[in-house]
Amino acid sequence: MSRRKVPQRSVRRTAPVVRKQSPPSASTARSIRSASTSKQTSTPRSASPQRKLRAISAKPAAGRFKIGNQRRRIQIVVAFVFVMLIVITTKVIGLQTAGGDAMRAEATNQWTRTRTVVADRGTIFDRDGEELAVSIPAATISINPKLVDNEEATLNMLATMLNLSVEEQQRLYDEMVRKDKGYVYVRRQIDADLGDQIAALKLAGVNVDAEPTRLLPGGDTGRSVIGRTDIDGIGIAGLELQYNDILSGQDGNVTRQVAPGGRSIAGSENGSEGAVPGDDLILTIDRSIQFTCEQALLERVENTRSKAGTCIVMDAQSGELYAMASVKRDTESDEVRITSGNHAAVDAYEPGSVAKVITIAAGLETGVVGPNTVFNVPWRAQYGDDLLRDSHEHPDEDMTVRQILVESSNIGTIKVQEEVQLRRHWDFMRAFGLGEQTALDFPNESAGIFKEWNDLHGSEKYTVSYGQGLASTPIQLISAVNVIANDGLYVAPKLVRGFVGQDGDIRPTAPSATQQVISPNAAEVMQSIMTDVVCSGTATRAQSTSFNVAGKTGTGLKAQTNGGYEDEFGVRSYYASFVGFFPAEDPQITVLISIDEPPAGTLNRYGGTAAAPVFARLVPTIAHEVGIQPTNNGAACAG
Amino acid sequence: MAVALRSPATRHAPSRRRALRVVEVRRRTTRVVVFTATLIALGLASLAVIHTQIASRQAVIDQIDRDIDKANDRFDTLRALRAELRAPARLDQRARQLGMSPAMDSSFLAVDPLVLAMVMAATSTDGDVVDVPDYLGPLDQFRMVKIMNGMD
Repeated sequence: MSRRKVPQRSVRRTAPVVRKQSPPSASTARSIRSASTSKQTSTPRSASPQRKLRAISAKPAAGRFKIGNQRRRIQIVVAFVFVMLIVITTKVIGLQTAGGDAMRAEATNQWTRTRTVVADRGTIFDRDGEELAVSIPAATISINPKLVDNEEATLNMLATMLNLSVEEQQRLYDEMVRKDKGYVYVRRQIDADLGDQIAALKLAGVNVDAEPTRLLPGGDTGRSVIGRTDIDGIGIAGLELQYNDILSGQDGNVTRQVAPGGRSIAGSENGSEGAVPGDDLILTIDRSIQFTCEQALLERVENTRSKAGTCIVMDAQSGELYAMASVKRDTESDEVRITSGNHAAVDAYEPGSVAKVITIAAGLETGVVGPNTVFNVPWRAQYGDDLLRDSHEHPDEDMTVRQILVESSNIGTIKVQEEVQLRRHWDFMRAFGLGEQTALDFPNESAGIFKEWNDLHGSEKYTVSYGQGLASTPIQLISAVNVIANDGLYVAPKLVRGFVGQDGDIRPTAPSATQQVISPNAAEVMQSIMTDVVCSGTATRAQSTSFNVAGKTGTGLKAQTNGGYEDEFGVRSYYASFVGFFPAEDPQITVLISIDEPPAGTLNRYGGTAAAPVFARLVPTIAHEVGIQPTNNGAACAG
Repeated sequence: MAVALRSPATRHAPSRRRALRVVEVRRRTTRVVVFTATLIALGLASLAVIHTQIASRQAVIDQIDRDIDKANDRFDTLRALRAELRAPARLDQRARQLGMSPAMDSSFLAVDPLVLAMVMAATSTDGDVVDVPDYLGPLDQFRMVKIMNGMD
């Protein structure tokens, strides 16, 4: 066996050489042919094939490669592969390090699309936890005209389901045909179920995205305070604007893969960054009291044919506002509506006789007068350049300070102010909160018009004592009168009780700031005098059968555009108001009612006739909602 | 060339040696390669299984997340609907439809202390005649959902 294997081995060694040469290349074949022809002349034709091969092998190849130099070829190939590997590796390292991030980002951009997920806007609750403003799921329909493959069918389907108008259909069709945009809104914030139905149709190029919409479940109730948001859910008025940052939360985004052509790949959505919903607001507003205020105002403004009305209900001790309503007559439709503007904080008027409360309180506090101090009061007198008057003609009469307030004498009030002196009186008005924004910090809240004491000239020095020559907002005015109800302590008004955070915990707001303005004794005397105002003075229509009520009416003249108090036809415009509190013996609730521009020629132009009845109507509802039980059923007036 | 000649004696003598045969060289590397390949295959298979399991679980989690989102949406829709139904404006409208009108005044009646004492004795209450079960208002319900959602 071993003898047979030896030659086999040698054959094996040589065979590859022979086999590799057997299919010669073209150049090799040419060499072989030329070699054989050249040898045909000198070599006998009977030469063996082995000898021919040997001759060929020994002769150098005519081409670039040596025939049969296997090792050299392998080296070349290995070197080539090695160089290529180095090049590739260098490139890979370069891609992974220096330009890696940019390339990865570029690649990701090519096959993914990121969509912003709008964070749920926080809810606005009333003080009892009832929703005043809430965001609910809705759907927004849009199209990508470039992906719409059947314009007519798509348009017909959308028009039928969304009840599109002819104009909308035409606009949409034009966009579909033009195909120059990648995103066109069809209808925003439609019902979520309808959105699901459209999504189920899987129309090419039609997108259905979730986009919550803002809803006031109570209709217009509280709209003046809550304000509103735009279509994008951004607060543009009221508390929606003031607390927009808190309510908005943080938007997130969702990344999904797209196939070539921009079509989304189903199931490829990846929540890259979750949206953080906004915090929720708990207001001090009581929805029922707010509604009652609004209804009473709507009715009163309508019945008196007035221009507008305001109602504020405040907790006398805490300053929390139970209601803050504004209604206004629409100039075009002549319809009285709840406004989205909070006129109670934004608009400033000359408050009229309600400001006498401050003057008389200043007199009592400084001790220059007592409730029974007597002044001889004419019905008119010259002050500065003007002849100032009481509201009605009367003979010169001796009036006590109590009578001056009960009968709302302008001249009598000036006499008290003269005792207090202008500078001190001005300081009291400032301490009562006039001339500066309240702590509400409501959007566009007015600070009113309140000149420095040394900027008051002529009759202005005197008219400010009874509320002319200065302007205040209703919220300033109720806060000022509430000082009397709250035993001389000014408490800043408050609209927000707290916030509900992400963890569901309630973070209460800080208690309202307070400052002692007059002594409790002076406040108590004022409460007594103001009770008389309701029992026997200008505010008898504010009386309640269940409670003793104290308050003060005001009938301010509105400044005209010509700078005076009469327009070009000699007609005056009035601002009728009443600010009262109850129960008079232990004040818990303070209410302001104002009626803007009641008809000048009617009895309803006064605070006691236009505004006071609204107060009387509201008392039972407020008492019921707040849980105040009557103590002596209006016995104060009976006594 | 010299050729060795064999003697006849040695030519016919039976061989005592065992017959030798050429065997393939056992290469340990082959076994190592096979073993390693098997190991890698098993590892890859395990990875595939684990990856599939993870993907499967993730799909379940994603589905649960979607269900939670849907439930939250439904909760928001329902509480908005409830708020609409409880809104004073709607109640007022409905009451008017039923022939009611707002009261212009309300009266508070004083209860005779003796009567109150007799009622309390008869009902074994401390004044709260009606035992109202705990009621979660809209805000409390909302907060509970919010707390649950925050427990991610």
